[in-house]
Amino acid sequence: METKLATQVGRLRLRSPLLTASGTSGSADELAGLGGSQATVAALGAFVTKGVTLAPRQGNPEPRIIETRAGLLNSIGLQNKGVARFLSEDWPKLRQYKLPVIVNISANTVEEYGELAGRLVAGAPDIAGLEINVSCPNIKEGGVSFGVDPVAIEKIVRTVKRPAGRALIITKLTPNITDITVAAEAAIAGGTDALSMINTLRGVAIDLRTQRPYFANVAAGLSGPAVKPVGLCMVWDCFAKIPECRSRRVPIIGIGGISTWQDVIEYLLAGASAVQVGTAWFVYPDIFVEMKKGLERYLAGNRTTVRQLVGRAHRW
Amino acid sequence: MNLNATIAQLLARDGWTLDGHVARQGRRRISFFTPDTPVAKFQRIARQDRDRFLHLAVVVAATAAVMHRLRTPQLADRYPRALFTSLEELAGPLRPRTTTVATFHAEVLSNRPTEDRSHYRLVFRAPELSGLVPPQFFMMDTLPERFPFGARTVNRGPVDWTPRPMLKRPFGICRDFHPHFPADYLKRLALPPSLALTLHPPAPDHFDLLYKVLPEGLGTNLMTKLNRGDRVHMLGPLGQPFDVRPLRAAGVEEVHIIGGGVGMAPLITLVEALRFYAFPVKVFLGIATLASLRLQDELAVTFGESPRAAYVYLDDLLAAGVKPADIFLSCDMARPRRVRGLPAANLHQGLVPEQYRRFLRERPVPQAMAITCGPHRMMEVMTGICRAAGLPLKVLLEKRMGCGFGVCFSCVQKVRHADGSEDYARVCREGPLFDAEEIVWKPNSQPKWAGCGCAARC
Ligand SMILES: Cc1cc2nc3c(=O)[nH]c(=O)nc-3n(C[C@H](O)[C@H](O)[C@H](O)COP(=O)(O)OP(=O)(O)OC[C@H]3O[C@@H](n4cnc5c(N)ncnc54)[C@H](O)[C@@H]3O)c2cc1C
Ligand SMILES: Cc1cc2nc3c(=O)[nH]c(=O)nc-3n(C[C@H](O)[C@H](O)[C@H](O)COP(=O)(O)O)c2cc1C
Ligand code: FES
Repeated sequence: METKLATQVGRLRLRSPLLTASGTSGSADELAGLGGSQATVAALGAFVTKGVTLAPRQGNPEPRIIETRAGLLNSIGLQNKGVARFLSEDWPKLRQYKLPVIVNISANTVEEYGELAGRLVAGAPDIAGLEINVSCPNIKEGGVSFGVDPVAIEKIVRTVKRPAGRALIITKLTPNITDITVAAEAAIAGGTDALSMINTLRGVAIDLRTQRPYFANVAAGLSGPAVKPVGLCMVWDCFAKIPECRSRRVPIIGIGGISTWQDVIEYLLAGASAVQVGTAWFVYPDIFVEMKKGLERYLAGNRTTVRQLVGRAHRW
Repeated sequence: MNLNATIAQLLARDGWTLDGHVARQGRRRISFFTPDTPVAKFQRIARQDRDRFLHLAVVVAATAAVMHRLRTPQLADRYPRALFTSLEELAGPLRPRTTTVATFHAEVLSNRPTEDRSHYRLVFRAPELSGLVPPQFFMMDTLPERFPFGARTVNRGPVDWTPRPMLKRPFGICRDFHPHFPADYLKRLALPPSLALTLHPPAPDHFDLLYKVLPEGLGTNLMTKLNRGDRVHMLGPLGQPFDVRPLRAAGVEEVHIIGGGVGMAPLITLVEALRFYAFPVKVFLGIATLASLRLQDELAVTFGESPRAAYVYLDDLLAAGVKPADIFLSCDMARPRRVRGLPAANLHQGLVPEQYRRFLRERPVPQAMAITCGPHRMMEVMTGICRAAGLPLKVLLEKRMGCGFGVCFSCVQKVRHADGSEDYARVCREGPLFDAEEIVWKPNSQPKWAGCGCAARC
């Protein structure tokens, strides 16, 4: 029987709207090392993996993280083992959790995205979904982010969709853009099954002692409670302006600064069908369990369900 | 399996004899008991021994897993002042301990500064950390559970722009305290070395943490405001444990611990472990001035004694049973005075790696291994010294951390694998202890003695 927490993202039925956010979720090993891991897994609707790339990536030099007011800047640089080792080492362990697994993919050319998707789906046919991270620099276009280029977004989605088979295609949009609905519409034109937003916001920190930028790449990604209103606004805009989002034919996964169960409800009301929690989870590993409790209390108290809450703030 | 024969064999190597369930050597006695022995037996041994640690009780469980279930803080009063072992470890290979990470609130017992307020000692109760094996560490909130509005600020002004820290801070344990055992029991404990490897002290339930207040460090400044009774959120134990017991079979006859400044703090639990298992230890401590170590001993008060001036590190090492002759002290800001019975020859004005290098030169060392923690430059210099002397060195790294449990990849250190490939390893997950030869220190950095700054300056 479906519980009040159940939700749906495209074809994918989820028992809970709570998902991990890419790059902050680790692999199965870290989760298993936590005392409360079973309760956490029970609170999750799906597991979104760290960003996977075709070849292994070392990532950026240190320092990679700095705390800001109510947030943090990170410049990890997509450190990961590459798709081959992901499939041989991480995937078998992730499957054991019996959760839908969504693999986050990153690449530097349109063709690479396609090849990566093909390798993943061939190596792990029961993958629940692919989340396309379009915030990566486009090497052929001088390193400009794919995410600001609607034509590139549409192309990537098309290219990934071909080999994806049954896997759900989610396009993860960057907030570093004038109007996110343009990027969202491009992804929909390319055939995406769902949208997720937002990735981190660009930010800089400068070290007063050296009088130089703190990170080797100068700009880093801002996440955490500080970005919540931004993410919420972008979910709102897409739901309000794009008919496919409003009809939930292309549902939205809300991301950005979600740290309490109240934040989850706000995102649902703004139009998100599910949410991802990143920074808050690694600051407080019990967060999913606490959020689930809070949601259940709220839903019971208001005699409602997650499905009914989605986009409710838009009626007037 | 014949328990008596196994124990007798272990004891014989160290000149002890077994008579029934009691092992003896001179005035020392160890009595072995099954887990269902009445509590009164343990109480009687404790009473009669009066903390001289001449007569010890040991609880023998069937398996290591059962033993760890018995030696929890919850059962501390069931086996007062007893050590633990298991048939499994007595007979077979040593079982390394595995731990799972817990989130919990610890209760602050005291938080006292040294004389120059550069360091604080925080004593707290946290039975959840009882499974911690050094040099595992934990992450802690720098504010208590409830945050009295406006009471804790760093930037003063009409508007408080101080961010409330969101990230927890990583710290190593400086010392652990076992229920029913006096804080300095290792001074008197003398276990037969072969048997010692299979023994375990009761699970510790309170701990202390020695932290340095960074001049611009938000978290460590906030921590100075913690008070007795505050509840602080923590996550731990984290990182890989380092089981020192197999070192004996590997032929290590002596362990050298070299700590630069606050880098000494997380090494002291390691010294405690080494001392418990009866390893000879030599400790080299580098600090700015002795004054940065002096404090009013709150710990004494915690244990119902009257307060007295104490030296952090030095007194901790002595309490761990390290002899004054085995402690070497370098001060780089002032000439060190004689303290706590350290021989004059062990005092050095300058930096601790210099003193260690001289020590290695003057005295051919037996099969030894070295473990160090301190500023990066110092550890780099130490790597060169140990390489030249042919000593294996392990380094305890401290890095900025986001999560502490391996998911954010922010605490990385570049390492070189045996096959020559390079990679970023996570200090919180693969560390915090690494083989020094694995570490790729910053490219092109020229280690300079003058800038090594093992003391409070960096
Ligand atoms: C495994 C481990 C064990 C440690 N054990 C001890 C100990 O026993 N005693 C002790 O005094 N210190 C110890 N440290 C260092 C301690 O974590 C830092 O001094 C502390 O985090 C500084 O926090 P802050 O908020 O005052 O500094 P800020 O500069 O305000 O902190 C900003 C960020 O940088 C990080 N950071 C700054 N300096 C360091 C540093 N040297 N190492 C790691 N992270 C840093 C902080 O965690 C924080 O995320 C240990 C670190 C690690 C990784
Ligand atoms: C340390 C870190 C690593 C991240 N890595 C990735 C990544 O590999 N791929 C990706 O699409 N997003 C990545 N993100 C972005 C998060 O998935 C998320 O979109 C963002 O942090 C906002 O959510 P939050 O405020 O809940 O953290 C990363 C974020 C952080 C903090
Ligand atoms: S602190 Fe997050 S991976 Fe080490």
